[in-house]
Amino acid sequence: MNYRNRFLGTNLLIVTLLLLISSSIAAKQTIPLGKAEHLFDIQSAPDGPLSLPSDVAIANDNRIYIVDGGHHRVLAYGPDGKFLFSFGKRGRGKAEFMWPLGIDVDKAGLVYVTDKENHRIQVFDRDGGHQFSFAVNRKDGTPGTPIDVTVSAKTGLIFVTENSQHRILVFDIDGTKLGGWGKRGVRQREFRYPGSILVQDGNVYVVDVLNTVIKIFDERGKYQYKVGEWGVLPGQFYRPKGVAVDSQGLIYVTDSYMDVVEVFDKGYKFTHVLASGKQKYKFYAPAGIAIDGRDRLYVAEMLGNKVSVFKLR
Amino acid sequence: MFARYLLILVFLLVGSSLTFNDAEARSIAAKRECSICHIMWLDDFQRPEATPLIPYDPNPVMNTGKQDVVSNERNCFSCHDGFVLDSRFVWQNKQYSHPVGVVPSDKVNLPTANEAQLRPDLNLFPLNKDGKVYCGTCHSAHGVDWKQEASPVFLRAKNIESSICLNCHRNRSTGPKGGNHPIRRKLENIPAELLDKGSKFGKDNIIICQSCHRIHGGRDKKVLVASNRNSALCGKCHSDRYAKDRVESTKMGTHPVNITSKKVKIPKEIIDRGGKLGEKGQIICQTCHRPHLAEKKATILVKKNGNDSALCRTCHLKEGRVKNTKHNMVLQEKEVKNIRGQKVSEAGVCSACHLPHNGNGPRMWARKIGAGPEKISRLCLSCHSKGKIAEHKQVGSISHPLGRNMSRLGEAVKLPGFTDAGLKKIGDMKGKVSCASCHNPHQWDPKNPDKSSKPGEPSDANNRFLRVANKGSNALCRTCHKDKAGIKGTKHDVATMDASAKSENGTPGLCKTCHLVHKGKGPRLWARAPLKGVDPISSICLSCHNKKGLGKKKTIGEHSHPVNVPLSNLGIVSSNNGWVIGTKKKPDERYKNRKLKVLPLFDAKGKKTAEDGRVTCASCHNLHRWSAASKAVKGAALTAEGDAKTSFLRISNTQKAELCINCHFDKGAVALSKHNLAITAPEERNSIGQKAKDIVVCFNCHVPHNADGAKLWGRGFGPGGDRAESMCRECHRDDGIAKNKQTGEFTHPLQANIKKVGGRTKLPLFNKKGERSDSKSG
Repeated sequence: MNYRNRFLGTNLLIVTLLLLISSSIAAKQTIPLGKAEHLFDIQSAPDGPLSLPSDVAIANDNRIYIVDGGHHRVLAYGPDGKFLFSFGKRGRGKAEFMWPLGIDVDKAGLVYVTDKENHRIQVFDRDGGHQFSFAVNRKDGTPGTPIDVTVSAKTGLIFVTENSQHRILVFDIDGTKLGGWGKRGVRQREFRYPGSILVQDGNVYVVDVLNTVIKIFDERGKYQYKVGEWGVLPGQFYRPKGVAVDSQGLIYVTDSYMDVVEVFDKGYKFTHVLASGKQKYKFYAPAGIAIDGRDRLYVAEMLGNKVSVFKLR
Repeated sequence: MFARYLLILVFLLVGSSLTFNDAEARSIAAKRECSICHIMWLDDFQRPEATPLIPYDPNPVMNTGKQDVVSNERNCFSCHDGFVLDSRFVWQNKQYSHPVGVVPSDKVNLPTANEAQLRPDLNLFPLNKDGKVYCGTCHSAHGVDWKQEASPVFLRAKNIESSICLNCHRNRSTGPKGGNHPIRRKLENIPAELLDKGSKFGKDNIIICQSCHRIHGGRDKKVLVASNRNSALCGKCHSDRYAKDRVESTKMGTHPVNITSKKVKIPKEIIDRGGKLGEKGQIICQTCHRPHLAEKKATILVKKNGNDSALCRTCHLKEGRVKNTKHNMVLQEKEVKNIRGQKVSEAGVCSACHLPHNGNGPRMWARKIGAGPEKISRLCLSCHSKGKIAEHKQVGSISHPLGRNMSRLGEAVKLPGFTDAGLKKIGDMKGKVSCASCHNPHQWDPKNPDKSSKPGEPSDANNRFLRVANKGSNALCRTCHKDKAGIKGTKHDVATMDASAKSENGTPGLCKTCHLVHKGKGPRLWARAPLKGVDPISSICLSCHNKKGLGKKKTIGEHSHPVNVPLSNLGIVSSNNGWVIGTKKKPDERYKNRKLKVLPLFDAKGKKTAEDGRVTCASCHNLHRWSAASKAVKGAALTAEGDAKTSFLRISNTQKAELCINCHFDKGAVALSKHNLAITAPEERNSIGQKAKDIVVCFNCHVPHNADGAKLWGRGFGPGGDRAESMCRECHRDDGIAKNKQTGEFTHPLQANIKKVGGRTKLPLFNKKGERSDSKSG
């Protein structure tokens, strides 16, 4: 009996070990792909091609605003991609920019632009007329480094990522600073270079670039959840830059090194990579993204010097 | 046993699970910071069942060659795109970034291992696997201590005031003596525009490599910080030398740039030596200057200028001939120094008069020039003046006028005028006369431009740095003074009258027997000692027309037409707008339709002037034209006895006396009266024997020269108590031609003083000599 049991136990042990080994050499995983229909690209303005476009925002009337950073200006296009006008030029005066980076449009149609090297947010009307500006400062009052801006449709609050102190700053509708949260670190309310920011349906989505996650807060800064993780596998990020949410709550994240757009479901689980046919769609340094009311996805490709437009469904 | 098995199984499962998850997590945590750049170190690339979103490729082949992935631009850009750090400018003008993907040229000296070991200031800079420069050649996250504040941390070595550049570009740090733009020299005023474009300077504003070069995000070739189109970047700091056009260059006293020259062609030698032209062939700073690797001791010029001005003369071939002339100061005075204190024997032949930059005046004068409007000539006078180098060649107090508008000539000429800014103008009548209008200071002999001249050698009117040979027929003078050409062959062409005639200083020639361009003896550059006349112009006429002079046959006598009198005596107002009959306040309505021809009037110094000018000989006479009627009077007619149509008169004086009545406008009616002897007594002769029918109506009674007393009387005198009565009674007497019109025995008293009868009158009164007088003595 003892022998029999010992024999049985030994065999079971061997089988188990084999099972464990075989599990480690399981079949190679495939990357789940989700198809999106490419509609058109916006590559140029009348005076030449775009230069390092970093972000894109869509107004309620589907007008498209693009930060043409290399030219220190904002370009406006119609819903069909037809050029409308531009505003801004290199400089430090009113309606001038020094390396603008992020952009958003509020429900009233006002356009908010992070004027990075001028350390301010500039606000324009829908036709590019300058409305007002407000400074983005560090805690000690010295000039900060605004990266992206977003406006809550619900409260009208303006949220700005300031990455010299790795914080989220909150401003009133007139640009009065109300507060903020965050510091350099890896914890829930800490960041390492907060990048793009999006407020939608009461959630504040912050791309924490070097922590390689999307952190989700409520509008008062209370941590909710995170999307993605460090790595190069599907569902992971190496250099996450842009975030957008579609009408069904799916979360789209650009990775500017791996040149992909990864998609997560409402439960924050990875679902697929944006694809064209059977191949994942290869962007060229994708950064800021936006989704309009028709579920069109706009991807600013910085080194591609274009904004690609897709129909998601 | 089974329980034991289960225990082992649970242990294995849990253990394996723990081992996999926690070890993996710890492994990622440990490597994570490194993997921010070293992505290929991620273990997921090695897991057989995992499918990363990008392929494993630790040594990708890129367009810069085969290299490690961490140093490719995508890796850098993924952080430096503005979202973490902002180096977007690097990608904005990538074509103007420091070259990568190239094998270092022989002009670049990458430090060798031995050099790096021996010299602490040198470092090692690796190339990629293909031996080419790549990002990692200069950049490494591990090269510079992250606590270092004075230098960027992602460089392979410290970069204090461009020190990293000089590791490889050592041969560009040698300064001007070594053929390179100076570095580590203080720049007093840094242009804000340069700083805005990313230019950097060292401590105390010293110039460093990055003052001009921006390794990433430059705006022009050679990784220049700003566009250097037409040397614009040079002009940012050297704004005092960077003129936008010729006009500005003359104001700045600097060699013109941004211009194309029809006269100066940049020779191939300059281009071969590294000289450059602007985008449309313009002369730019870099045409003469080469900021790096220029010839040693050439002070960053493309060619050493040396003590013979070799570079200047490479382009300025014609002007370079000055080297063999008296204007080469080396031949005159070796120790002479220019305003920069440079000896001509050391700084070159051109340096005596010109400086390429910071000159003093429109032609980059290297001399101190006096005040005055005519800037070009002032350089000449800076030597040709008392106490100066060329005081033995002065122009004297009476010299050809300078600063006169060439437009006065009325037509374009081939000699240059110069604008107030100093620009040369030929053929457009826009410039003003200067010394350089007639003289080319760089060329001794216009007919033989290469001819040399040495100090002390004789000169004549065919050389003397003149632009046109002027001997004999004075072709140079006549280039401008074409209206004076009619003098040739006339009685005023002294050679016609006396072939041996010369000016008093011995100068022969059509013009020069009467005029001296410099050191004149009287007005109009008169070449002869003027006799004392009543005005400067008549003085020079009288220098010939006197009893002993060349014109002794044509003297004017004691009683001649008055000179040095204003036209206002005749009721004419002369101004630049013409002649008007009346007073300055009010024109005379009676003559409003009368057009008077403007004749030249002169001021007290003999200078032509319209405003309040005075009558002189030259008012009626054009000394350079025998006949006003024809420009083509030739041959014997020129030497024939003159009459009222010739005689160098400005207006032909026919019987209607056009010349006379141009001024004596109120006397013209005599031609229609019985006093016109051509009608009433055509055979009657005046005092100089001219018949009435042949002469100007006025000349029956008056002659302009050699008259007999007052009123330029040209007839005899009849009986009478005074001259005025005698003049009238020359005709109105018993045997006179107007014997039928006598006053009779009982007539109005003459020589009566109207005061005695208590009268006042505006009627003319005369003294006993027949001269006009006032009410006191008349």
